[in-house]
Amino acid sequence: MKRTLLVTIMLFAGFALLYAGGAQEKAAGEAAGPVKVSMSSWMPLQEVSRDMMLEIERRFEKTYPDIDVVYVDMPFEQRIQQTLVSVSGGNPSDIIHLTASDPFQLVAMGAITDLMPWFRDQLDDIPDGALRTGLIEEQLISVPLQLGTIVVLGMKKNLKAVGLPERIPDNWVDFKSAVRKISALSEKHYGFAARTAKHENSAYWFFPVMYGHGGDFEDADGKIVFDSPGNRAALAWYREIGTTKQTPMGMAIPESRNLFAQGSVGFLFDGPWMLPIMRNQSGKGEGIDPEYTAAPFPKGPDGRSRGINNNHVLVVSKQSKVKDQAVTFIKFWSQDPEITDFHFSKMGAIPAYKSLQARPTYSKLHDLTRAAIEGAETSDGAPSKNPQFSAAKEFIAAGMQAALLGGDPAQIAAQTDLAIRTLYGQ
Amino acid sequence: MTGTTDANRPGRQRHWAAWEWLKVTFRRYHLERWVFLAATLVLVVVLLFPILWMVRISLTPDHLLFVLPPQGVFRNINLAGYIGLFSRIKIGRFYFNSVAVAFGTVLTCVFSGTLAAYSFSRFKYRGRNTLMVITLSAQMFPWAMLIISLYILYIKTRLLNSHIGLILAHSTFALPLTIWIIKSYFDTIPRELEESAFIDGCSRMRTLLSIVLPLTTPGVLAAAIYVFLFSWNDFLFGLTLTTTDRMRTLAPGITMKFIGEWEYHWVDMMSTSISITIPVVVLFLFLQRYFIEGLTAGALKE
Amino acid sequence: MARRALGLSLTDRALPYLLLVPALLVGGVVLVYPLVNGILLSFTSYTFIQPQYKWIGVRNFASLFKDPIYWEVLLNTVTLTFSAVILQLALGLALALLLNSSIPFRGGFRGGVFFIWIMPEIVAALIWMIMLNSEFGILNFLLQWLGIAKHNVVWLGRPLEAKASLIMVYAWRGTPFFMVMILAALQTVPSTIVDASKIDGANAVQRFFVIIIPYIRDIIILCCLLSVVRLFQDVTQVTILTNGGPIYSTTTLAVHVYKQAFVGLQMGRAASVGVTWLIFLFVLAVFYIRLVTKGEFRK
Repeated sequence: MKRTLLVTIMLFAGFALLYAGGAQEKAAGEAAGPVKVSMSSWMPLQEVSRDMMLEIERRFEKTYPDIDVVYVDMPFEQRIQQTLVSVSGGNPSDIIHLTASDPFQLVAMGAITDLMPWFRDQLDDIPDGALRTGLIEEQLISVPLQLGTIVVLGMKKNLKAVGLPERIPDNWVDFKSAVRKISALSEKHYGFAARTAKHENSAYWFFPVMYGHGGDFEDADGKIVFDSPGNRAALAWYREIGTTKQTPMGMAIPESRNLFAQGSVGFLFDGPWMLPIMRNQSGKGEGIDPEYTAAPFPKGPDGRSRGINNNHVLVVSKQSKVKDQAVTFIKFWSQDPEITDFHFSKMGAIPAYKSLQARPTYSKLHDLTRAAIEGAETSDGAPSKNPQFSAAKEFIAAGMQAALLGGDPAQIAAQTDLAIRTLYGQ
Repeated sequence: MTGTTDANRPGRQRHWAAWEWLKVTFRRYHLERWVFLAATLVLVVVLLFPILWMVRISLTPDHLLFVLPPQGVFRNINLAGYIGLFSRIKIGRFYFNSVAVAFGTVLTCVFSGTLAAYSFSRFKYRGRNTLMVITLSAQMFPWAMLIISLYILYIKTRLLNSHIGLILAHSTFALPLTIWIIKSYFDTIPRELEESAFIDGCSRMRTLLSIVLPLTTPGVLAAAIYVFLFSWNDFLFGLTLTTTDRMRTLAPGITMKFIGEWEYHWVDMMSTSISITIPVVVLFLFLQRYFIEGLTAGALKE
Repeated sequence: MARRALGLSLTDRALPYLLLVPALLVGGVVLVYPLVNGILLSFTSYTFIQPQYKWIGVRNFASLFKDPIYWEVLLNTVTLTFSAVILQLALGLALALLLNSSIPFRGGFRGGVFFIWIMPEIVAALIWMIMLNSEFGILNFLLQWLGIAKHNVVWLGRPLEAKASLIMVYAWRGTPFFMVMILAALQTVPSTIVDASKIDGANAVQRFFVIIIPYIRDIIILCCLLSVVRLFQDVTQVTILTNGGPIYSTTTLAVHVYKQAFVGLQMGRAASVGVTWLIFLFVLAVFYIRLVTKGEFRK
């Protein structure tokens, strides 16, 4: 029996190995035939977007039969790591799908093409905030694919329960007071679901809080000004909401969305992708739509509303040999009216170009979508274009968490400021 | 019984059943018995609770996933996660790749590891201790750092996106532990056994094959299981060293499918994980007879 | 026969080295270049942005040792790893003893314990993440339902609780390995000795400590070493559960290296952390070898 088993296992293994073989990727050395454009993205991977991506590819190749688009799978969470590795290894894709502040590390590595020559005449059509996200010293290193403006969402029933009008407060003072009141409703209620995880994304979501208190990351000359009264006030507010249970602690991003969808939270900062997510996670489908509202960020002490965005952007790698064709696909996906309508219908993706936003498809919109379009002008996706910005955000995340746990805002601001300045070499 | 021993020398004749031991305890300390059993149950239940939770999630409709108290655990059984699983979520190829690579790794590691373990265990030579420690060094340096150099090396040697490449990478990192584990089991066999075989004219290799190995089969199997799972569970190397769906292994494959930018697809993730894990568990349950309940000549003492 | 009597022939002397050849081929070829490269990197200012091997000697190490975060990270790693291994050992030993006997359902229990080990690591981490969620995680719910806790415990959001959570997950995930190895080792205990001791009137506890332990002692120590070495490498579970937070309380060496390399883009700096890690474990392994080969080759 034992011997038979052993033999069986070996046969199986041998068989498996036989079929295995070294099935390597053939080097791209096709002489004639369509030009191949490769794109790294997570969209073709995900169940929700895969069919849409295949359809877009099909339509593109029908319109441009001499270009063949090849998708390269890149999981969202590992997109930066995978891109860094593939660039270092000398074989990045022609187009790389990223989010707003990702490209700048690659820019510093000299891995990104300047897209200005292809998009120069379209700059006016891009909302200011989205444009600023991709501009660095006159070079356009990324073009927006869809709007990912971060706005404030609010659960109407919680606002009503504390006697406030069912809309997002106009300025930060009112906002903070609303948060306090909603938290007081019960032990299960939280005024605001802050992103409290130690993640650079969570740190990024702290920026509107900084802006709302009059603080900033760096000044117009690029000097770090993290240790400022505004930021100290922002950290003090985080200390307040962390220690007095106005915000749930230790949640990653998907979980805070879940909590909001369940209805016990007052406000959440998030983007237009929440439309389908809310429908899914609340279990109410489209019935959840009227239950919440959204608006761009409340005004800070200077009377301005200033926000952040997490736009999807597309970049072309410098090593690409098919830049023209790559741009053709980029324009097709992000600017073709039919395709952007299709993208919107499937994923709720808002086109990044103002001329497209004026189309009838976008006439009757949920508060959320309208807020995202409205807020696009004043939201910047990359407040700092320094390649060390990600590492800086790590320090801010640590500081933010220290505040939530009850640390001293002045001390935290000073320490974080010092750490970032050392990082930036200032 | 074959072989030598007087009662004071560790011999290796029979297997000893813990049940024997328990029986005596029960007879003598009746009270202890119940506490004992209860503790067992608690331990196992607590340990297995997350798995039960996994099953629960795989059967729950999306919007009830995170509602407390857990509602409709039995009422709302939602089989959508399982129906048509393999046609909806095309992981057949991932499964195959993982199995092929894992088997290849096991064969490679067990073969070269057994030889090396024998060398470390039975011979004394210069540099032996140093070599032993160096073999562990593969595991003592952060893999995140090694992965980039490995990626570049693989591009140059065209090993990217190949089963052989992954097998080699996995073996490199699983081999040290294989050697150490097998060596430890070899060490438990007294040299006298081999000496007597030697005197009878056996060559070293034959001694290894016909005397040492059969007696340490449980240990070698345990090492093989370790290697298999190392390869099976590997995420980092699979993610970096394969870039096509055709060559991808399970761990990065299912991550990519269910962890999206905005949402995690919990139900599908759990149902898929359970479905791909169960066959391997069944295989192990089948194999465990060979390393838990023993194979050697000499009956299991009841 | 004559060959034997005359002492070792050439083949016999070369044999130990020959036996090592396959292993060296497999392990060495792929490992040497990345490992040497990695160690060399630690003496350079190599970053993704400026990928040049500019030699800066031990400056990376100097700034590393002056950084208080490094020491906190090192302490975290040691605390988390050793606590987890102790738990793994305790649970693994208990399970091995229990599931080796003829208790009912032992097949099912063994299968369940295997399952823990076989399931993909990412899924394991995610399952714990949602169970430990402070608002809608089942663990808090159960604790309150059983009356053990009055309020929600913020498992992943406070430093001490986050460390405890990580230790729990490591212990859970690593116990099957100990169980399997100890089970295999339990088979090597000869029944004659046990029977003799029973006749001599030894009770269960005495039997355990005097007879069983010597047989499984070496395997246990080996398992502990191997588990420590593996736990040092974990990035996935920390990233999913706490991402190194809150603040730096669950940042381990592996996470620190990852962040230095892929967030901070400082390959040289990351490599220097790796080298300190290598040295630490190297020393540990040397101690282990001393411990285990102490009585070797004695007749």
